[in-house]
Order: sequence, then C-alpha cells, then structure tokens
Amino acid sequence: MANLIPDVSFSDNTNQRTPCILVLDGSGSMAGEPIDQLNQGLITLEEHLKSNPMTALRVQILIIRIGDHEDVSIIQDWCDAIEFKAPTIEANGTTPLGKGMAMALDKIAEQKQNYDANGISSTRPWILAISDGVPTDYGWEQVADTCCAQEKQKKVVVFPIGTAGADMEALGRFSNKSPKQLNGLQFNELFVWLSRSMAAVSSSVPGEVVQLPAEDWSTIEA
Amino acid sequence: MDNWKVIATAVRGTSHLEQNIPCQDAFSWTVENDILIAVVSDGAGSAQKSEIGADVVTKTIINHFIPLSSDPTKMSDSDFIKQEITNAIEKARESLVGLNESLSLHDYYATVVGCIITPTLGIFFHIGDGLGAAVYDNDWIACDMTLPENGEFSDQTYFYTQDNWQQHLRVTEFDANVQYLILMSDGAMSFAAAKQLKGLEPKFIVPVTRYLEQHSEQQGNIALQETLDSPQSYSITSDDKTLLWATRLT
Repeated sequence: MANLIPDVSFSDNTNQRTPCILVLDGSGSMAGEPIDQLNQGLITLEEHLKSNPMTALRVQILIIRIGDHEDVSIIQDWCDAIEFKAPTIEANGTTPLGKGMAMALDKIAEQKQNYDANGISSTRPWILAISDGVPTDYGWEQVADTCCAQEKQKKVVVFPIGTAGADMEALGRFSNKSPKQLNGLQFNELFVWLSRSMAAVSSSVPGEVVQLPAEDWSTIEA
Repeated sequence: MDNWKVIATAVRGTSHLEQNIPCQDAFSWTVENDILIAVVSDGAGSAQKSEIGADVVTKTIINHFIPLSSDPTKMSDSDFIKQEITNAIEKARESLVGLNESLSLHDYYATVVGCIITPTLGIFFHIGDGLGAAVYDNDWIACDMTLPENGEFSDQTYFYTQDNWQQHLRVTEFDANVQYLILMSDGAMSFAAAKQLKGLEPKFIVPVTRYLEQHSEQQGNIALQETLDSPQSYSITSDDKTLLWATRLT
C-alpha cells in the first residue's frame, strides 16, 4: 500500500436500503426444540447483520409472527439492522400464513412509499416465509397467487422455507421459485446465509438476480 | 501533442474476489486530434459473460471513433456524433452475436457511460447506471452530470445488450471547456459521488485530483488503483469499481 493517494476520505454516500421481512411460524407444532432453534437463529442473524458495516447500515428488518388463533402480529417493525434486537417467538396456535404474507406485502408497499417520499433508493424487498405446517387460514391461496404475481412483476422476492412436517406444496404456492426444505433445525445456518445474502444484495451489484451464497442449510429441492 | 491527461483504473471488488468471479467493469479511452473519447462499462452480476460484454463495448466504441476523429468537420456536428454513438453500440452488439452459440445477448449484459469531447462539443452517452461529470472552475458540486438510470429498485438497471436498449440510451451535451472530466461505474459512486448525487464528493475527489495533477499518468494509474483497492474502499462497497479522471492540459 505504498502508493495510496494521501488525504483521501471514504464515506458511504449512498442512501440505499435493503428491506427484508421474516414471516415466522409461531404455531403450536413449533413448540419445544424447533422454536428454540428458530429463536437462536434470530440471535445469530442479529450478530451477523451488525458485524458487517454494510448490512448494519443498509439492511432493514421487519418480523411478522403467525400463530395463536389466526393471529398475525408485527413482532419487530421496520428497523435498521444496526438497531435490530432478536425477538423471542412463542409457539402456540394455528398457522395463518395467508394473512401473514398479506401483511408482509402491505408493509413492503407502505415502506416503498416511505422510501420514495424521502428520496431513498432500495433494493427489491425479500420475504422469507418459514413454516413447519399447513396454512390454516381461509383464502390463503389467493394471497399465495398475489405473492407470485408480485414476484413476477419483480416487486418482491419470496423465499418459502419449510421445516420437517411442512406442506411443501402449499408453501411452494407462495413463490415462482421452488420452496426449500430446512435441513433438520439448521436455523443458524439459514440465518447466516440470509445475512451473507443481504450483504450481497445491499452492496448493489446491478442485475436481475444477485449471486447468492450456497444454501448449505437446505436439503435437495423437493 | 495531445492536450489531455487521462488516468483510469478498474478494480475487482471483494465480493467477486470471494466468489472467484472476474472484474466485470471495463474502460477504454483515446485522444485523437485533441478529441477525448472515453467509455466505462459495468457488467451485470447476473450475466454469465458480462465481463466480455463490458470489454467489447468499451473497445468497440473507441475503435469506431478513432478513424472518425480525423475529420474535424464531421466531429463538430453533434447529430453526426450521436448517430455514430448508436452505430458503435450496434456494432458491439453484433460482434457478440454468434461469439458463443450457447449464449444470447442477455448473457453479456453491461452498462455504458462515456463521453466525447472535441474542441467545441461535449457529449455524454449513457445506458444504465454509473455516472459522468463535467467539472468547471473547481466546482465539484455544480457540475454537468449524466446520472444513473435505475428501475424501480436500485439493484435494477439497463444494459446495451437488452432488446430495447435504444429507449434507454441517453445522450446529453455539455460545454466542451471542461476543467475535469470524470466517469465512474456504480461501485465507485458510493464514495466518489456526493450524497443524493448532488455533484461529486469533495473529500474524495479533491485529494485525488491534487495527486493526479502532480504526478505522471503512470504513477497516477498505480496510485489510483491502490486507492480503489484499499481496505477503506472495501468497507464501503464490495462491488467492482472503475474511475476515469481526465483534465485538459494548458
């Protein structure tokens, strides 16, 4: 580094955000080891996002929990990764995945309006939907079709991820891509992959599809 | 003797280094009869052979204009230059067709940002992202710029090898009496462009300019490369970065 130009200052002048929503299954069947591993995975996600200066400042996270009696709630509203504190998801009740995904799409549209109003550029939002079961809410199929349509219009990228016991066919309805099956309870590996993927996306490599890290957390596609 | 000093470099970003992908940025320039022609191209991360797309378009445009530059009458006509820019890009596209039968033009997606500066005319041509700036009187903020065009999201842009490329070709004129001319790819914009793209970032470009003015082109190229390939640069972005800096010599 003997030839560095002296007195040069590097500061990040981009005003770009990489929004990411997690729709997490807090239904009764997740109780015990699965929800414990999921919650540990969220801690891993927090650590990894914060440890990378790019993701810390550019990634924005929102977390939706589905469970209880057809309940959908925002556990963590939009926040910069640097301020993200991993929540603890409780396991109890049903799996209103349609409602959860509908809320995710609404929150994405709302945030995009916010970005546009404030001159903030953003990468295409991601939604990770993680479930171990079957959607239980009425009309989930219509929401799944809407997710696919928006994905086709390149407004969102949806990653349906199922753990053991999940209805992969139903999960697959929510995206034009095949759903992924989590290896056992490798939530840690999943969230490390997510953090590294967010780093790839947030460093704004132009193009239609970002080169993502290998998915070492999933089994061979169903 | 030509009246331009030009220093340029393209460095591979750490994300491409880690994934064993080549640098997908390219640049080319020439000075012919005091006419500066310079082009920077950024290959799409998703396209298989975008580094070839970037390399081909930069070289094709330069090679296209070298013989034309010997005709000062034609090169003082902006309509002529604009038509030849289109012709050059079309030539680049045609040279890619059939290069590899298993690939299509979409596999060579790359952006284009360039300039042609004659004694009387300044012209930017631009498809996609990246940025060009014509600077006058040391005013790094109120410079004439060609800005990036992104789609709805910042990870979308436009490429010369897409089907409707001509709809995204933007050609703008500026005063030829520039003090400095800067071209850069998207990666360098993170720290070399000012916030909200209101000009260039003085904390970066002023020390760079001071150094490049005081040193030879050869030393300048080495120093600029090392500076863009430094840990400070990696901390801002892992993308490939290209910066081309030019100044008229008095």
